[in-house]
This record gives sequence, structure tokens and C-alpha cells, in this order.
Amino acid sequence: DATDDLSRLLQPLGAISGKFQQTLIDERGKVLQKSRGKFSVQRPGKLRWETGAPFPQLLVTNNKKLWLYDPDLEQVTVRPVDKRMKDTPALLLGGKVEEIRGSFNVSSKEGAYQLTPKNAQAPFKTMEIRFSKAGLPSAMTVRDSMGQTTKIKFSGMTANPKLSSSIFNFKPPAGTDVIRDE
Amino acid sequence: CAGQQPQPPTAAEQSAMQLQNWTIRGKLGVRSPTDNGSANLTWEQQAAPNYRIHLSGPLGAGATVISGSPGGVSLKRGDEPPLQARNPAQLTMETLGWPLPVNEMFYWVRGLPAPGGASNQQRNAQGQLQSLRQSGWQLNFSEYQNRGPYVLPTRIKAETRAAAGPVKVTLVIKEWLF
Repeated sequence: DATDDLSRLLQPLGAISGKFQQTLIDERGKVLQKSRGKFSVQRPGKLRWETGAPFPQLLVTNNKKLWLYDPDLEQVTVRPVDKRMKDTPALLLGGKVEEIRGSFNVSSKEGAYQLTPKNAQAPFKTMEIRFSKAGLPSAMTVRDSMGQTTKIKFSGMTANPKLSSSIFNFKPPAGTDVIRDE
Repeated sequence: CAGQQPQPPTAAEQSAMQLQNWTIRGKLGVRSPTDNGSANLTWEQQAAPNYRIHLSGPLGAGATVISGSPGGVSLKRGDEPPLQARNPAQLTMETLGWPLPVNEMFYWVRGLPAPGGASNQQRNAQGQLQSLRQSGWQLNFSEYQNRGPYVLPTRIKAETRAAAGPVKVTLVIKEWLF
């Protein structure tokens, strides 16, 4: 079924690195913000999602702690990774493939996979993920319960790159306001 | 002291007073006893009191929309029904745990004191508002930049003492669109 097909596509991707272009569209269809950046994800649950100017922001998690660093605000919040985090879209790429069936209802149409979280508190309502012919994710569209759509286009993707674990940890620059949110 | 008698508004301030409609894109940082975090902010301001402030985290997560109209202000988050109130600071205090004084921000964001009591106005060498005390908030304005015909602050720090403890809000403006 669709979950098996999706799992077969994700299974060989222990890690992925690439670039993204993100467009945030509100429920009225108005583009709120466009941004771009680069990311790396590695199973299980390690992610580095770095958005560049003009809205620089860094999301890093080593599957135990999650840092959200904002250089404009000179502020970083540090949170333990909790169950709720497991349902964030980008973590799907780094999630355990066997967990997909437990977390999502999956259907597929013309090569695009639609995922609906089984957990009602998940931060998104539906997610669609498309793959390139090379079997790498090419696009992701996330819709939340407010009708907001986040469109992500991937490029320059590398499957199973060698990644040092240091990129999934974060050391705040001097003078950063560190906020621990236990 | 000199800061007490309100000097006449500078030419730059007079022009900022004409500015009534805008879209601001930037960041909002909050440090408070109940909630800490940073969000991307988009503020669409039509003729006061009509506005829409959209806050969201990375990948658009955790979106919150605060919208104002002549009838009052409403806050929508996730699939919860919208909450209504008369005053944005009170509504955000009840729902987010920290006050967002949008009525006053309509003026502060342009480097202007809001109407009503404003004290301890300090100005920099160019006569631009640098700090101010108003409505229980201590404000600091910096990084004024030319934007079209206006000279506007792009970094505003605001501090107040809520019941549960100090609240610090930082607004960094990346884009001003008129």
C-alpha cells in the first residue's frame, strides 16, 4: 500500500543534505514570506534547517535537544525533544521508517504521497511529499489547521552524505540570550 | 530635565505621522515567565484599527493570527475557535501569557510616542526617539533606516512588568512595504 511504497522510498535515505526554497501562504492565498536555505537530516531524528537572509533562523536538533536560534533577535531557545516534535514535517525525512504507519495515514496520487497525522495535536493537518526520479524528495507542501500552506521546493540534494554529528548540535555565539524551556 | 517638555516633532516624525498603512515583515522575540520564543512576523496595517499580525515559527509551524477591526481584536491559533476581546494587550496576555500592546505599537513602530502620557523621552543626535516610558512599557528604539520618504526604526525593545514577572519583547523589522 502507499505506506509501504513511501517507506521503500525513504528506507535507503539514512541521511539527506540539500537546499530549500520555502513559501508561506496564508489562508487567504496571500504570500506572507519567501525564504531559502539549506538543510541536513539524518536518521534517527537529527535535523539542521538553516534559513538564510533576509529572515535568518536556525533550527537544530540532535534528537535529544532542539535549538531555535534567531541571529536578528540574538536569542536561542533550547527545548528537550518531545513527542510533539516527532510530528514536524522535516523530521519525517529523518524519522524511523517503521514509525510512519503508526504516525500517519498515507495515500498516494500520481507519485505524490499525502500524509495525515493520526495524532490530532500534530502541528500540521496534511503534508504532501513528492520525489524526484532519483528517489530523493523534490517538494513538500504542508497545510495546517488554520488553512496556512508552507510550500517547500528542494534542490541540490545528496543522498547519504557523510555528516559530522557536530552539525546537529548548536553552540550559541557570545552575547546570545539563551532561553532554556524545560 | 530636558527630556520632560515634549519638543516639537521633527520633520522626520511629521512624515512618519502620515504613514497609516503598511506591511512589515520581520521577527518577534519574547521572553516572559510563561512563554519564550521567536517567530516570523508579518504585520499588515490598513487604516487603524484594521490590522492583521501573523506570527509563525520555522516551517510555518505554530501560526497565530491577531487581527484588529473597529469591533475589537481577535486571536486565532491552530484549530481553536478565534478568541475576541476589546484590547489586544489584554487578549494576548490571556491567550499567549504575555501582552502585545498593538494599539500603542501602531505609533511606536514608527518611532513615535503613542497619544496619552509618555515620559522620559530621550532622543539621539538626529532628534530620533531613542527611549520612552509609556503605558507601563520601557521602550528602546535603534537602527533607524531610510525607507522611501520615511526614517523608521528597525529594532525596538520593549519591557514591562506583568503580574507573573518581567516581559521582554523585541521587534526586528526586515522589510517595510507601503
